[in-house]
Amino acid sequence: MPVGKIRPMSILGGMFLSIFFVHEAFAHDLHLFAAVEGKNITGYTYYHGDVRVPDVEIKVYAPQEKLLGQITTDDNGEFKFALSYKCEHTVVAVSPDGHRATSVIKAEDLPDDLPAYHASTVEAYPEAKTPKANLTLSETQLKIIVDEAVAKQVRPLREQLERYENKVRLRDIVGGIGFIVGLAGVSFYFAGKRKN
Amino acid sequence: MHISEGIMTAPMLAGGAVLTAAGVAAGLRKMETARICQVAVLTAAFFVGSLIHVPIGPSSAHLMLCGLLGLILGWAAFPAILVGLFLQAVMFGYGGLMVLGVNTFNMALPAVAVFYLCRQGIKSNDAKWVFVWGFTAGAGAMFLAGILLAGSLYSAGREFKPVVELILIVHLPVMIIEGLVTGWAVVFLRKVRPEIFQIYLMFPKEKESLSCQWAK
Repeated sequence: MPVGKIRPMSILGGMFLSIFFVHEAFAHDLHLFAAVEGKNITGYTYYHGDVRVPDVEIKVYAPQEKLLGQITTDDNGEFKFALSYKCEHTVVAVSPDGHRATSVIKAEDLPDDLPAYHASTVEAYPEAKTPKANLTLSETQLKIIVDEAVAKQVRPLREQLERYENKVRLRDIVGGIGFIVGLAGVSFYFAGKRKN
Repeated sequence: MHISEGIMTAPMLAGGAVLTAAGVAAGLRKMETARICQVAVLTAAFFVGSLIHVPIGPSSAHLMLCGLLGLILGWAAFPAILVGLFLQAVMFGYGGLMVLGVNTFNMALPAVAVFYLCRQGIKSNDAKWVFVWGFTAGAGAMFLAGILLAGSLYSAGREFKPVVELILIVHLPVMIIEGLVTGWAVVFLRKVRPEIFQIYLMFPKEKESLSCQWAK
């Protein structure tokens, strides 16, 4: 077939058809969602388009990059990490193909009855004290229950917000193209100068 | 195909940055004034192409266009890909500024390789062969980028073989699509604007008088 006989429409049609041949996720940007639920950090890892990623290495760090624990996500890309201290936790997810995502959980978001964190006490891994069942609720216990309930209610909102933030927006794309046009202009300016 | 921040070691980051700087310098040096617009348009295509995820079933896919960039731009693919990746890193957090050098090198070197390996094939006057070489360029650039990516991760302390397998398996369907799109694009460009490829064209005898603007 000579080159001249291919019609543009057939090319466009082919491009459109080719879209249907992809089945695998094109792993591009790894995202991590992590939130406090009771005395655990729970969350999941996902690729663009809400594809959950199993077998991702999750490392949880205390301040000063002290490793508190390491887990991997399950088949649904979810993980659960039991908290031992009330301090800032940095959750780092690394997928086998070299993508990385982090999420920071502030100390204020953690339950109050966790022991405070000291860099020297990390090795001990103390179990968090669980409040004993009691007919009358103390103020602290009530606070913990309320905190847990609120955290549960807020979680879907947080997930939605996270997804919203990660969305690629048209104005960003247009802005990027504008940047490229500007660079072309700068190149023309210098090219013109070189000629003179 | 991006490597995220915080995975590579410092010497690798520096090495990637130096190699990319050299490639960009070579690209800018070879870029003629008349080709600035082409570079800009293809940079925009590269930037946007990797952002538009087409949802397919439960997942999504997107194009990389490194092969096409390489075939048309040659060494100028280095600055083009650098700018595209820079914008993606700054605006969307894909990759990152520290790993920009490594990422650019991993994608731009295959583009330049394709420029030297597949460009001659496009001389053909047979659309089938032009398509085949376009396909090879598109899929091949992605394949090479995958190998370089795996090599980079290997240098960062990961085992080479499982990473290569994982990357290539995940990218195989995308590679085919990339090849098809590049193939079609190349056939189309070869037909309507053959001078965009910096090649001597061998026209059939009766058309020998046709000259190519960019032929050197």
